[in-house]
Amino acid sequence: MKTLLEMEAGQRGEVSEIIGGQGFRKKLEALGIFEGRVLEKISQLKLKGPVVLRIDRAQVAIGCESAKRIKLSILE
Amino acid sequence: MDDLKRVKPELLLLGHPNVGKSVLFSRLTGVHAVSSNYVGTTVSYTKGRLTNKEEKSLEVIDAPGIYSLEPLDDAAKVALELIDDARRIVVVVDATHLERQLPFVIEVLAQKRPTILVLNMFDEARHKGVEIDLELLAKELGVRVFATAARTGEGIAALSEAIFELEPAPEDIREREHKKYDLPHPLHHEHLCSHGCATCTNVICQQDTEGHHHLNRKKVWTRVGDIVSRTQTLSKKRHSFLEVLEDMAIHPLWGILVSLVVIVASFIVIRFLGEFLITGDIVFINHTLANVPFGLDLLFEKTWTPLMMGLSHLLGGSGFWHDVLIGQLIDGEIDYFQSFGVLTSGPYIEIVAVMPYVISFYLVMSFLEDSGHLPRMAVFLDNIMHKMGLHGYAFIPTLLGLGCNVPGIMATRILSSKQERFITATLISIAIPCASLQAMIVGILGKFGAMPVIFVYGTLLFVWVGTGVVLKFFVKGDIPELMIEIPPYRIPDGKAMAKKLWVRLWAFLKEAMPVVLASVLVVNLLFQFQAFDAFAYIFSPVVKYLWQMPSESIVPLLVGFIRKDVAVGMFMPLGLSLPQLITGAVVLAMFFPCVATFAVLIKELGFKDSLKSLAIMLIVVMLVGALVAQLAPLIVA
Repeated sequence: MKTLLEMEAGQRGEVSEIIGGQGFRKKLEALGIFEGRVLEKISQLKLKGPVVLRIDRAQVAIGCESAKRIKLSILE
Repeated sequence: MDDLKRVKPELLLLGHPNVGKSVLFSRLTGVHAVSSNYVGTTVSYTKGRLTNKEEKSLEVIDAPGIYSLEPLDDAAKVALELIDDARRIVVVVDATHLERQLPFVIEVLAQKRPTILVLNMFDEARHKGVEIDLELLAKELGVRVFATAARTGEGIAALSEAIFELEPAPEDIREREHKKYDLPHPLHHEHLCSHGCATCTNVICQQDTEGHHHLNRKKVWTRVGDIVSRTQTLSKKRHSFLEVLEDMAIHPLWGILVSLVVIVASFIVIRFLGEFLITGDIVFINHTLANVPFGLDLLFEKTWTPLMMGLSHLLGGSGFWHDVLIGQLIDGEIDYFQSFGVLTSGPYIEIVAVMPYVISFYLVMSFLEDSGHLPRMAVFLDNIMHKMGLHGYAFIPTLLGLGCNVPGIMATRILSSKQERFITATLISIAIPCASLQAMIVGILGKFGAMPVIFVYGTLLFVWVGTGVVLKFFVKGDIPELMIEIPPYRIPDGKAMAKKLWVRLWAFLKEAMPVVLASVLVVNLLFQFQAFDAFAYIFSPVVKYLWQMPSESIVPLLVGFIRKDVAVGMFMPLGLSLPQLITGAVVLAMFFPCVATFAVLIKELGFKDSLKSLAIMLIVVMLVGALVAQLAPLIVA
């Protein structure tokens, strides 16, 4: 299991745990991110920049602090 | 645009940001709502009327684009209030990304209002190899479904007909429901399925401890996955050029290159087009290749100047009215930069010096907005902006502020936290020069080469970052993290861009022109009665010793409160040295926002925070002005 931040660009993973309160979860859910969802990390910007991922053919950007709180099991 | 008061929308348009909702709105009603390809353009809502062949008409309200009915920000709250009173709803989705948008549709359907679903950008979806079974989708969701391409007008007629066929909810729908469910506040039932669970197919609903029914979002996404798998087929097409570019633009290294190319190209195009409109010169890397004899400067010289010279003779070449209307003749001629008459420098500054740059700026800005590149830039700037207590998205209002501070500060509403809005708006009002001011700075300082212009911009950039970094330590509250969906790249539609440019240009002419003429008139009258001498005396310690400028320069600085561009023009007759002009330009950009910006600042931040903002401005402008006054002579020497 890795956090979204630790994942390599190009890897796909299934969300297994989200660490955070109701507000945080709701924001993520609105973007379609919750336990059981499969997503692909496509980019990690330098200097603690956001993570960009692909979910349902759409690109979503998430700040790196939030990315630390999303854990995924990597799919090969 | 309207403030939020109790309105009962006969027809409400809802949808995610960036699904072409505003274009659809203008197709339906003919009113032009400013639409762009980034999140949160419609921060307030827009009204219009839809009329059919039988001359029946409906009031249509275009709600702000929102991702969900969760009241996470102001835009969602506005939309929720509107839904509560809505008698008919049209929910608009982007057909190219159905699976991203259906959860919102289900949320809206759970509100139990008479609803029609519109799959917009259907042409683009077809082009991308996305096939959607409309009939099956309609059956699954239990609503009528229409496919449109708002940009071309495809499907609009059928949609408008269907809207009139829809049986509206009773006018007092809100009161009826609130009575029925005994709800304290409209916002509290946003996720209730207000008619009990049986009608919302149970699979997406759950009950909380108080017996209220909520949508379960995970179940919604699962249900959407199920619907999409049956109604949508994707034929694998080769990655299109735009899709390749999309991935490149968010790559950690290639993306920086893409953004740099976009920024440099934007500056070159703005400058090229602005100068072309003024002079008619077609310039390529400092070489004038050709000249079209239709530059605004030439047209003004050929048509307006003879008229004004005639008037000058009529008025006898000097005297009270001559000096007010025509201004001072320089060597017997009108010099538009120095004469400063109501009818000479006034219109010249606005039409010849400033308007071309307003046109070229907004043209480039519209292109950037509609192409979908701005959110990508926001993603790249996120880490830098975090150092300033902001996240990447604050960059978009700031960029808008480079056109005019007023819409820039209004657009800070797309930011969700109060402290972020305070910092962004304060920084815009202090360090972001509007297009009018920039046109004059480039026009006047540009004559001395690139260095003075670069120095002014560099200083303002430094002030923007520096003030932000310092403010971060004083403004409490944590910085919300960036969390956005990035829209796909689109090739902007020429017609939509032209329309948007026209709306913005017209607003500029309508608002700026009377203010410019009036301010030149007032300034001239005050000059005639020597009213500025007192000001010059009071402010001279700051102006003279701190900023190293003649004490009369307080007059342009005060006029800057009304119009910044006019104020730069007023530096010319003072005969300032180049370092003094540079100091003047920097101080003018920072020293008190113009009155329109000031008004919108109070409206957006409230009186108390606006005063704080002004206090910060005064401290910064004193320090930076003094610093520039010391540095400028060294730099240009």
